[in-house]
Amino acid sequence: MEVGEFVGTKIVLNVVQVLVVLLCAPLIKGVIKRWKAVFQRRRGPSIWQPYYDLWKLFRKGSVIPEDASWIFRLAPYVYFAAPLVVALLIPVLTTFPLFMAFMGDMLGGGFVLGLGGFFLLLAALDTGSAFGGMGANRSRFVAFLAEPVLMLVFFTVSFVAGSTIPYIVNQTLARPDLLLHPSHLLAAIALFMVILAEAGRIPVDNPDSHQELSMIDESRILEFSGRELALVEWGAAMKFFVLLTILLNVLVTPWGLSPDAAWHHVLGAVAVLLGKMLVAAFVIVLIESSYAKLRLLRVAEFLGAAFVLALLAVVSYTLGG
Amino acid sequence: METGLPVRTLLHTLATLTLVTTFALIVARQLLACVEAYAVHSLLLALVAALIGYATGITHLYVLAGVTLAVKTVLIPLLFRWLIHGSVHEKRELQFYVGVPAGLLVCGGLVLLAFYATRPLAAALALPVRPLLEVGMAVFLIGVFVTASRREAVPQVVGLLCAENGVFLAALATAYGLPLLVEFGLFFDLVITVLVMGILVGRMHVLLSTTDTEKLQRLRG
Repeated sequence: MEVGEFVGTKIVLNVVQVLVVLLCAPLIKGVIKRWKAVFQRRRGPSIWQPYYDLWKLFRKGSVIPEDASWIFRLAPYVYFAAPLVVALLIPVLTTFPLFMAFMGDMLGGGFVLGLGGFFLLLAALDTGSAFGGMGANRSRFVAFLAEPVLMLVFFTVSFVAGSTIPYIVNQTLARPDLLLHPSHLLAAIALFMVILAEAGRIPVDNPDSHQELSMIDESRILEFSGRELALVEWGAAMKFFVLLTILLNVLVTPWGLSPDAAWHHVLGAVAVLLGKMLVAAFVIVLIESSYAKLRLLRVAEFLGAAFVLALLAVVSYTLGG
Repeated sequence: METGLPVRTLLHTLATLTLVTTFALIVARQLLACVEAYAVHSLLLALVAALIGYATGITHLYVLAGVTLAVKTVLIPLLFRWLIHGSVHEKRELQFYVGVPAGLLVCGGLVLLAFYATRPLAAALALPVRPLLEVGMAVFLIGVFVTASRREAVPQVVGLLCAENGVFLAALATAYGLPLLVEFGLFFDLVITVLVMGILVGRMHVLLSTTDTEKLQRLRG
C-alpha cells in the first residue's frame, strides 16, 4: 500500500468523522427531548425537530445590539468550530489514530472546548445587557468548578493507559482488568457528572426553560438571532455530542470502533456509536425526569462531590491495591 | 487464599463503593439520608465479609456477614427511624459546623492521609485485601469527622457507627475478622448505643424542642 494512499484514506476518514459529529448532534438533542416528553406522558416534538429549527434559523436575518463589537459577531463561529476541532482529536469511528490525532490530546480538547465557551462568554458580556452578564457569571462559576474534575479524570485515565492521546487510551482500555478497575468506574462517574454540568443538563441547569432566573447557558445566548443563533445552538449540540463521545468511546465502552478503513466497518462503527449515544440519552432522560434543578450554590456541592470522586479515582489507582 | 482476578476486582470495587457511600454521609443534609447512607454502607460491609469468607474459606465470616446484615442494615436503621419518628421532624435539614463543600475537601484530604499512612502496612497483607485496610482507615477518619462537624445528636451517632464500620473493615483486612464473641459483643454495644441515643434525643426534644447539641452547653439550675 502506498504511503500516499494510506494518508489519503486517513484524511477522508477524518472528514467523515467530523461530518458524523456535525450531522448527528442535533439528532441526539431531539431524541432526548422526545423521550423526556414520553416520560411525561406527552407526545413531544419530532426527533428531527432540531434540524427543522436550524433550517428555519439559517434563513432568518439576525439582529445585533447597537453596542456590540466584533467579538459578538465572531463568537458564534468560534463556538461552532470548537467542537469540530475536538472531533478531529477523539476516537469517534476508528481504533487507529487518524491524520490529526496527534495534534492534541484530551487536555488540549478540553481547552479547545473551553475556548469556544470563553468566546460565547465574551459575547454575552459584550451585549451590555444584564442577563448576559448574569449568565456569563453563572456559566463561569460552573465551568471553573468543573475544570479540576476534568483534569483529575484525564490524569487518572492517562495514568492507567500510559498516554494522554485519546486513541491510545481507547486501545489500552479495551482490557477488562483495566476497564473494571474501581478507579476507572469512579473516573467515568465523575466525568459523567461534569458532562451534565458542562452541557447544562439537570441537575445543574434546566435545558428546557427560557426563564431568566433559572438559566445558566440560555442567558448567554439570549441576544443571538438568525444565523448566529443557529450556529450557537448547533455548536452546543455538538459540544454535548463530543463530550458524550469522549465518555463512551474512551472511558465506558471502548469497543465497537472500526479496526480498518473498509467502508462497511466504518458504517458499522457509525451505527454502534449512535446506539451507544441512544443508551446514554436514555440514562440522561431518566436523570432529567427524576431530579430537580439544584440551587446555584448547591451546584458547588455537586461539582465538589464530582471532584472528590475523581480524587478517589486517582488515589485508588496510584496508592491503592 | 484465592487471589484470582474476579475476586480481587470485586473486593476492590466493593471497597471503593464503601468509600463513596461514606462520602454520601457527608453530603447528606437530611436526617433520614444519613441513616440510609449508613444502611447502604453496612450492606456493602456485609458483602465484603461474605466475599472474604468465600475467598479464604473461613466459614464464620458468613455468620458475621449475616449478623452485620441483620443488625446494621436492618435493625439499627429501623431503630433510628422509630426513635426519631415521633420526637424529631425527620425531614429537617441538618446544621453543620463545617459546611458541605469544605467538608468534602477535608474528607478528600483525610482519604489521602489514610491511604498514604497505611500503604507500608498494607504491603504486608495478602493481595486481595490490601485496599480494605486503606479504605477502612479512611472510613474511620471520615466517620470521626462527621461526628465532629455535625450539630445534631443523630448524625453524630451515625458518624460514630460509621467509624466502627471502618474499624470492622480494617479488622477484616488484617485478621480476617475478629473472633465471633468479640463481634457479638460489639454488635450488642452498638444497639445499646442507639437506644441510649434515642432516649437522649427524645428527652432533648421534649426539653429544648431541638436536638441541636450546641444548646446543651448551658447548665440549668
